Amino acid sequence: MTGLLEGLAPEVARYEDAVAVGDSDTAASVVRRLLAGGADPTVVLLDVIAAVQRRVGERWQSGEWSVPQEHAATAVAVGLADEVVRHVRSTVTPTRSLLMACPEQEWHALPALLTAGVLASHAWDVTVLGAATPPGRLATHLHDNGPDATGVSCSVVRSLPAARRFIEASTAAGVPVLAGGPAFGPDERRALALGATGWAPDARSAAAVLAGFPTFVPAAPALDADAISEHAELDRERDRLVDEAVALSGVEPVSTQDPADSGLVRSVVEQLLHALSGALLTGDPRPVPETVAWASDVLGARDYDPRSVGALVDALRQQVTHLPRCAALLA
Amino acid sequence: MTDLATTVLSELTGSLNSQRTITRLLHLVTEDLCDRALLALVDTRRLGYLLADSHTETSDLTIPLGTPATATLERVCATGLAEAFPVTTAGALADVLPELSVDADLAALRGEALLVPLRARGGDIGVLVLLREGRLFDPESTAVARSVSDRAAVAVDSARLYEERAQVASVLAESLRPPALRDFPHLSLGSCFRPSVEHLEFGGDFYDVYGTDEDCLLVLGDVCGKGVEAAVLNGRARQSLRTAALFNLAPAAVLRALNQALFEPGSTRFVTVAAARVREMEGGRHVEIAVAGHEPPLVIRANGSVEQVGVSGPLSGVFPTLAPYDEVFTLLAPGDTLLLFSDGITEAPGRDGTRYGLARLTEVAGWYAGLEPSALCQAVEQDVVDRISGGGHDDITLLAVRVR
Repeated sequence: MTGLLEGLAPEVARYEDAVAVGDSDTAASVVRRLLAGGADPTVVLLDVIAAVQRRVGERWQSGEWSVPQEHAATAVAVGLADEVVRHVRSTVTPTRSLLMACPEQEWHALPALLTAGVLASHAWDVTVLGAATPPGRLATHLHDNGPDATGVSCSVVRSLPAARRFIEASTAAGVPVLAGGPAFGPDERRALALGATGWAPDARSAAAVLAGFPTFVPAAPALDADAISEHAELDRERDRLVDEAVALSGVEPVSTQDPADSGLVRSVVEQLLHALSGALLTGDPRPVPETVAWASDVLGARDYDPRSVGALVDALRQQVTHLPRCAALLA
Repeated sequence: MTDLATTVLSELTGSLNSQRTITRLLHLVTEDLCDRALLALVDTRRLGYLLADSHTETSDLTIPLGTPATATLERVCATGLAEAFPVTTAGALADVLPELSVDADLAALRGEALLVPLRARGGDIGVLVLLREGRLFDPESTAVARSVSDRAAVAVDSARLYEERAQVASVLAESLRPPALRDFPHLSLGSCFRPSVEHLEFGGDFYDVYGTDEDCLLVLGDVCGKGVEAAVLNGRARQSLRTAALFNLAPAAVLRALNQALFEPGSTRFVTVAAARVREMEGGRHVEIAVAGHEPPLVIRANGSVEQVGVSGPLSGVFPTLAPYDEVFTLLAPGDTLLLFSDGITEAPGRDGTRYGLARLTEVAGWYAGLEPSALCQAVEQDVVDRISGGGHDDITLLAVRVR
């Protein structure tokens, strides 16, 4: 295996170059060559496909890549990850089953697929429901197939409220839930607050966390009533809040080469609202400053005045003075 | 211990999965009420009892009717009365359970067995066999066992009914679900399907691809109505199109055949379909398009320009005889995409009260002109779904073909 590890860096570079120019055939040949050469599928999934995908996200954030370019690269990664997962399935006999899904508003399906692949190597039979899965579909699968556990993958904070509904559906049926993904933060705090049975920081640790799961769990306890009602208002009034905050802030859109990037200012305010909801429901205030930092990066890379984010936050704060928890989070 | 009945009720009713409900019941009763438990579940199809054991993983052991063991079980079911048996010898349990299921631990058990019937909704669900080691079932425990089994019976019955229905649905869904697509050597295909009824895997929209790399026909259709009733008509429409395509891949011919197959006097049901034939010819891929009351497809050029094909035609299934369907022609060069879509996309209700609309679809399709069809469909789906207001939507369906 040492020879293979030494050979990995040039292969990763070849894969990344291929993805950068949309050459899916070359990217596929790298992955297939590694698998045929006996590479650990987990390494291929996490150290090749996922590692390069992270750099894809960074390129969009820095303005180097357009949205369609990011979509194209992601599609290549998803197709190849799927191939690796199928390869693992054909070589490992599963002993337990897991249902993996991305909740509504979560369109990043790759992390779920990567985790599924790693778990398959640990004898889990994983069924992956796609991006933005409606809760009814998850519930039907739970009843029809009776998996031993459920996995919820969230990359963006906006999908946390829907993740909570997944956790409700799963625990109501007595099935323990593993939560993971960047939206759950750097520790188990948000996951446990939403009622998950456990949290894993990355795909590699998921199997160990699952090994400690009970067979049955009670239904997740209710969330704080005030938090729920403030979140419900943010959700109901979202368009009006965004319109008024943008108008009040005085931030003008900067013209952009990428038409898919239009509406970026509105999008930033929407993300702030999603961060507020995430903070309300989990009791963890960190999503708010994290989103502010992200917004500064994104707008800064596109020639916006550096005071823009502050102006948007101030404008939003003025819209939510009647919601004490939101106001406190934006202070 | 009197709380056990309440616990059973709240913890068992959440799951509709038969296997897990039974396993959970057995786990719950072996915590406080007894030391070992088995559930003999009435199996109406194979005329016997399925046996589940708290100490083993599997629950597929069957006790056939007509053995001494079933006489006891049948009596308990018929009378609806719990029965207690002293277990003082190795053979005592053989009167209740068949030899096969009595493992070494069970054979060594000395104590008492309590058989409690499970009845729900007027039917016999089965018998719960509770075993205590070194002690007997006092009157209070027996009473608890009875209330536990009353509540468990309803939960187990619900799960079992759900399982039976789900099996029927699953078999039918197989043929009603949109097909998995495989690329041709020179054409790549992509699709997206998001049914309006979120927990079903099918709906009133359908799509199919027939033929070969050199000559293929793509169809995308929409049956009036939603849910299961629409899905059945969808199945018939697909079947008729498939048969017609065996004889002639020309869109006008296939739509004509569909209309004749679907028309029924007095029926108000109809189908809309868009059909596109892609043929390898001199100068590129020659495409012929005809529609039956359906929005014509979009042609997305590699350079990002998008236009809608200009053609119309009557709904299918409404009139007994029709004039021939119009066909229009276009040419696809490498990198060009043809996108068929259902009105679930254009009519998707937005949060501000407007519809998603053809203009937005056209704009978004242009942005993603360089993507492979599956990625294009996913990008469009994401744009549509992100804009939908909380309420429902019609089936969201896309079918795309791109020349490599």
